[in-house]
Amino acid sequence: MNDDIRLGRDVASFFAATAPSRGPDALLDDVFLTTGRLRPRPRWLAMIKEPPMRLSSRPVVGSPTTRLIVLTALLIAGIVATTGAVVGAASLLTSDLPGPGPQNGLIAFDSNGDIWVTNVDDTGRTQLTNAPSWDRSPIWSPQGDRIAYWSQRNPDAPYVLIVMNADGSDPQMVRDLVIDRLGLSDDQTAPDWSPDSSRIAYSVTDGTSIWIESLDPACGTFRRLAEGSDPRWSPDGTMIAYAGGPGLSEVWVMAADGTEPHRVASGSGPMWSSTGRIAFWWAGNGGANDVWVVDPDGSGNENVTDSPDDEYWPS
Amino acid sequence: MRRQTVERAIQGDHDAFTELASASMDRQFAIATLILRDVDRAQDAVQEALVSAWRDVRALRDPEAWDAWLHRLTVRACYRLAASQRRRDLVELHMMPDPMPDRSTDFSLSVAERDRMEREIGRLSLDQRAVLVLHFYADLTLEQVADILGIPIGTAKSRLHYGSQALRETMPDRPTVPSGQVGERTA
Repeated sequence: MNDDIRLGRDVASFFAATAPSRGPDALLDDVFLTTGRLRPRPRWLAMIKEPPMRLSSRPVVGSPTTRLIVLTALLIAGIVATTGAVVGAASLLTSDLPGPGPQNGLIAFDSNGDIWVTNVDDTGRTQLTNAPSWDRSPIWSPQGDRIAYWSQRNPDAPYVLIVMNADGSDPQMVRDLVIDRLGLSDDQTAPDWSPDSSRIAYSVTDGTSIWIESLDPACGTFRRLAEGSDPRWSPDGTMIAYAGGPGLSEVWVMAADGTEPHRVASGSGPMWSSTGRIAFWWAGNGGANDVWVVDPDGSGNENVTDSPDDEYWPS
Repeated sequence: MRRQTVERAIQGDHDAFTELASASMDRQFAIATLILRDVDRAQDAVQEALVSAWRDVRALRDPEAWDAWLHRLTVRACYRLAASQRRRDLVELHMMPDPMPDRSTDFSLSVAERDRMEREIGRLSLDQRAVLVLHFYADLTLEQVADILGIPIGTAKSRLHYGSQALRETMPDRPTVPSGQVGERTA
């Protein structure tokens, strides 16, 4: 018996021996109590194409409530509040933030295929898009004056990248993918603005290859940079960290123009720290998933959580 | 009969949905438990998946795809729960061997090997573990796994390869056992 067969047999044997044979009875009671009060959504509102599974740093899947709650938490924790100006959205800039918040004090989210904004206390909720298309994954520009998002005209249509003003005006299709996004999850394809808002990086796929593009939202010209996903601009805008390598299981870094791509570590979910280091998670050599940090040149790789529990998605 | 039940559920028949959910729950719970390695979160994942299945049942165009669709919803819920829990203190509940597995089981693994396997599988990434569970436990082909996970087949193969490689590196050398003697014990 070769190693592959033996390993497969051992894994199957382990799963069979440890999997519970029955689920809790109360589980179904809870499910039926909930579903008995709900009606199925009409087909045009239902998620025809379920997003692929991958740990997401951007809560764009799930119920609208889940998206809002998780997105709120992420934005409050992750975005530094300033007294930024918002072009074309003065009427929305009325929030009195008690603490750190988005540049313009607003949270953008998608709900039932439309883009909305709201204050962090969920007052002033405003619907920005109201088209038959399915709009999702809104991402604020760093200055808070524009929103980039994906839009799908119908379940069989390709996704297009749209940039609009913060108040929903002047939506411009900046990238017609003309390919299906099938095979990539929201976090892998969600656009990421460069710090100066001059470019947007994102990943696309044709179902067999995955690559990162960098686009100028002003004119819609784009450049294919490298094979990979999850592009993240460095704080100074000179580099992009991304998931690359076999199975997208490695952290890679390249210059913003796509040159000098190099592997820096094994791991997933690269995210820049404000000091220019890259945080990611990795199971490491004989341990649970921990958060690690590494310098962009691959040096100084260190485990910062080092616990028997799993840690994911540093930010 | 099954197809008709799914079709009735798609039309909004809640009784048909309860019949489908009841028949599917145990298996989905087992899959979620193996992926998340936490029975409480697995329960949440299955509950979320089944509620989503009802809410979006009209999106299911092919009644024959009910099982694959439910697998997808369950695994997707597992991912979301894993992500949403990442900033909380994770209390890892080690699974105990089921006292009454519902099907024939290969007990060729010793207790020590099972402990080692549990430890090593727990160290895999969620991506890798999901592929292993769907392939080796749910007995799905890699093509089916890729479809459920919404990833290219190459990515599914890669995750299986690297997951298996990580396990293989920790496997102790064992004498080869003819397959016909698997699970047998001598008096």
